[in-house]
Amino acid sequence: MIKRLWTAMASIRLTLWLLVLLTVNLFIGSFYAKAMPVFGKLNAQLFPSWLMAHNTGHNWWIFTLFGLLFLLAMNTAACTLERLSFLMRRRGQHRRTIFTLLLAPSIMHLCFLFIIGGHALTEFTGSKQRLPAEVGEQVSIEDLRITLLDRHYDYWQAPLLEGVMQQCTAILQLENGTSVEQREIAILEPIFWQGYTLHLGMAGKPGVDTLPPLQITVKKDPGLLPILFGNTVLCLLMLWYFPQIRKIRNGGQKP
Amino acid sequence: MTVTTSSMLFNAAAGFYAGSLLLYLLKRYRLSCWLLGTGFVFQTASLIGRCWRWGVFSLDGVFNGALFLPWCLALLALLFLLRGRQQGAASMSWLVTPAILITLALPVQIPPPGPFTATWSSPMFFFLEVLAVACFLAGGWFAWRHLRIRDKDPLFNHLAIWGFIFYSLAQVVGAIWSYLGWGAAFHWGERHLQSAAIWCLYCGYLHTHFDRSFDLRKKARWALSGALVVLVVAYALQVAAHLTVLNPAKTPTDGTSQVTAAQQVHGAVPNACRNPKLLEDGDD
Repeated sequence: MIKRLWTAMASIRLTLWLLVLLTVNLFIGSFYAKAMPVFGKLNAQLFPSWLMAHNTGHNWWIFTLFGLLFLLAMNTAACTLERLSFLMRRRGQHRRTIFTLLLAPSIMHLCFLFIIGGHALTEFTGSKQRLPAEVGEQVSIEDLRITLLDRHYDYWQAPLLEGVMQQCTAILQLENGTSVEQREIAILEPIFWQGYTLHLGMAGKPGVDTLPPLQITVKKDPGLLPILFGNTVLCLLMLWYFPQIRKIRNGGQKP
Repeated sequence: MTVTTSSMLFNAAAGFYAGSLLLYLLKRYRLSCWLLGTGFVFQTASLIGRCWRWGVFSLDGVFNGALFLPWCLALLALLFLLRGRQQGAASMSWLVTPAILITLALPVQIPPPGPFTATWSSPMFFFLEVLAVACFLAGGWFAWRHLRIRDKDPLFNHLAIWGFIFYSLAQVVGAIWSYLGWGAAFHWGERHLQSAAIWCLYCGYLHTHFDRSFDLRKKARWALSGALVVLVVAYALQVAAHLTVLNPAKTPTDGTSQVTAAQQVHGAVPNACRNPKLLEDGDD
């Protein structure tokens, strides 16, 4: 029974079905996300707290998405373990370069597991909070306190860009119980402080004679490092693996 | 270089690409490739000119799909030519010409540079994404030729693989951009979900290699279907978001409504803030 289950779980046909179903699921989800603004709130809240506030039938695609991703992770882990055990039994039969090349797809699959594990950590753990970026506004997280002291807008000077915003900056006062410091934050220039990242963003449209409302996102994202690490190693390995394997299949000649 | 010069060079490139298609139909493949190459040179000059279209150097909009896709397709054609695939290279004019003519017929509105695009990751993301889309579309084109002519050339397979690599790189760079700008590597929004869907689709394609029941024809069918999906989702829908005919200039209303992703990316609407005091001081 367990052996049959393992064989089914480590099957490439299952991988293909799961990837096709995931593609369809993600496309359906994209239409829901466009049509219903409630899904946009997932960007400002962790999944469990979002679900408690918005538990409706329209969420079905998120549950199927998580289910399919979980199955794909199991399938990937099973396939990778099978492949690794096969390669390890034959490691003496290959030159080191060839062996590394044969090992590369398994490492890529482990990277994929890192990536979806990282995304799961991001959605289910850590913290997300949004603070309207108005002067004097304050937010407290545990014993930390963030206060917005000032904000500033810069506009392009070139004649063709008259009235177009170039950058927004804000001055924050950061208190951690023992020390107080002032730091500047800008769009695309987040600051890292006490394990949190603070991002400046826009919360609304700029009016004709008004400045755009800003917001500060305060985040603790334990999934970020596995996501970035997994993605970077995956891409570097792909850039090395595919040309090499193609060269070998062409008998060592460039096609 | 002025905007007019850039546009003239773009029009000239379109003319050369159209001529290339005509010569391909007349089976003058060598000449067709020459015109494709000339069009490519003109379009490159046009794209370089676009970097200064706002009076300051900015890569914003240079890698917009409508403008950059024909260039990427022409680049692929020239690479095929270098690899000795003259007929295949000339046949790419079937993709390059409609892509550039659509841009001429339905001009796109390129938003001015805003605070969210002032980073290396923004242009690099669009560059890699459009290059990947070009590989996927060319892959679909050669898959269709494979199914129709029944040749044994697995070129579509190589294109789908390179498309997947570029697309994955685009996702990494996009995740960095998204994290710096919006505080999350992945956003629960239409754009990110569709990108993930395309990635899964081509990831599945790559895995067909390990299923013995998938011969080259079945893989060609997958590559063709994938290209059609990419054509609609990653090209038509993305370009439609910038078409001037579909997006007439909107009058901004109050400042409290939720801002769209496009508005976030490109910042304020040009000349939106006309309050002289705010413009002079910059503080609130």
